[in-house]
Amino acid sequence: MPQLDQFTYLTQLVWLCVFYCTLDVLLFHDGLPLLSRRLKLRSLLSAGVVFRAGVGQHEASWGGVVIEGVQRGVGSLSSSEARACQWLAGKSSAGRPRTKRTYGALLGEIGASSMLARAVPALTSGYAEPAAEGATPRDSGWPAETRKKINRLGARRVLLPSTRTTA
Amino acid sequence: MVCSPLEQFAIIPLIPIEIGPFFLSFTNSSLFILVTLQTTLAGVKAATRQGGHIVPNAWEAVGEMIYDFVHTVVKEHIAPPAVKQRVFPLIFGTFIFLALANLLGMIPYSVTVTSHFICTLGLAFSLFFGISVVGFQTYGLHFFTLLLPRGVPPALVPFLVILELISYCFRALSLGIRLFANMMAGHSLVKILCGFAWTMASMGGLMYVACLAPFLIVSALI
Repeated sequence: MPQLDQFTYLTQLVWLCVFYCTLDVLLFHDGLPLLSRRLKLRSLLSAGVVFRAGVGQHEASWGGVVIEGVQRGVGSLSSSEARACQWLAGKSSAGRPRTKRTYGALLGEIGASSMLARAVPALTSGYAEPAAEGATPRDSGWPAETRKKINRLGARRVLLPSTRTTA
Repeated sequence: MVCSPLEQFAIIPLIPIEIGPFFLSFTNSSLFILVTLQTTLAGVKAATRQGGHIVPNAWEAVGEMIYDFVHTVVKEHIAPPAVKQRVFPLIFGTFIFLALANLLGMIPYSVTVTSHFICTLGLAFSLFFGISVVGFQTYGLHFFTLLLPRGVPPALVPFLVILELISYCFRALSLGIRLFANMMAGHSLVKILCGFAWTMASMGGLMYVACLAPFLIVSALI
């Protein structure tokens, strides 16, 4: 019975350890953070969540999440919108025939793009200026730099025409 | 020539490597562990290309479904969020590795990595020791409260503690053996039924028609 062949035990164990540890390290560093960030961003967008000023030490982390999320969302959506415009202009990117599924997905992405562009200024609007002494944490706004960064990202999305490639 | 149904589990060295008295050859089993790893990474790459999209495509949807499934299981059984975040990549990686290794074993002429008990027991024991070490690091001696469920009558305490201890220690062995036994028995059965189908087809006459029965059973199993 090959399973009882003791000479093969060490080799199987060693190579299993090497490849399994490689898989875990790569998933931990690269794969899973990307998946979880996208899921978080989507759940925030779909729930229409507007951040309120968090308690002290969480503000920076929330700001970081939003900036990163918006950057990634804007980056991927602008590439999707470029593809959508190519499609509307009559040619597909790889010369393949258009399908209903692609059309629906592209429309969905354009819709989400507009929603994101409208929502980004609202994420940081209406917050108080940095609080005076004695104010509660809820009264203080986000750090000014964070708000500027997010507004710049939103403005770039709303005001500037995206790099539409006309095929 | 009679072919044994256990021939499919043979370990064949592809690249012989000897370091002193140790044989660390790259075998057909190692090749399929590598194929499993590459398939997993390719799937994750496809699911996270360009950071992903707000409206997911097919690959992203599959990746997110698997992520959600494992996340739900972890969320139901592990309460503290800090522990959940640390443990989730390990559980996800183990789930994906075992699922893909078993699926790749269904390809004809491939090797089922998990049909060798050294692989399954190696994984099971290493996870068992890891969990025990982390448990003692986190809870110290309070980790032993795992052996005494709440609401147990005092008279039963000594017996239950011994029983729980044996059950806890045996869990590692049982997890490894369950997977190995299922894989080995399943693949041996498929090989035997295929052998029946081929032999019956070779006999001709009524047996040629009757060979459909083992063939359909194999198709149903696969």
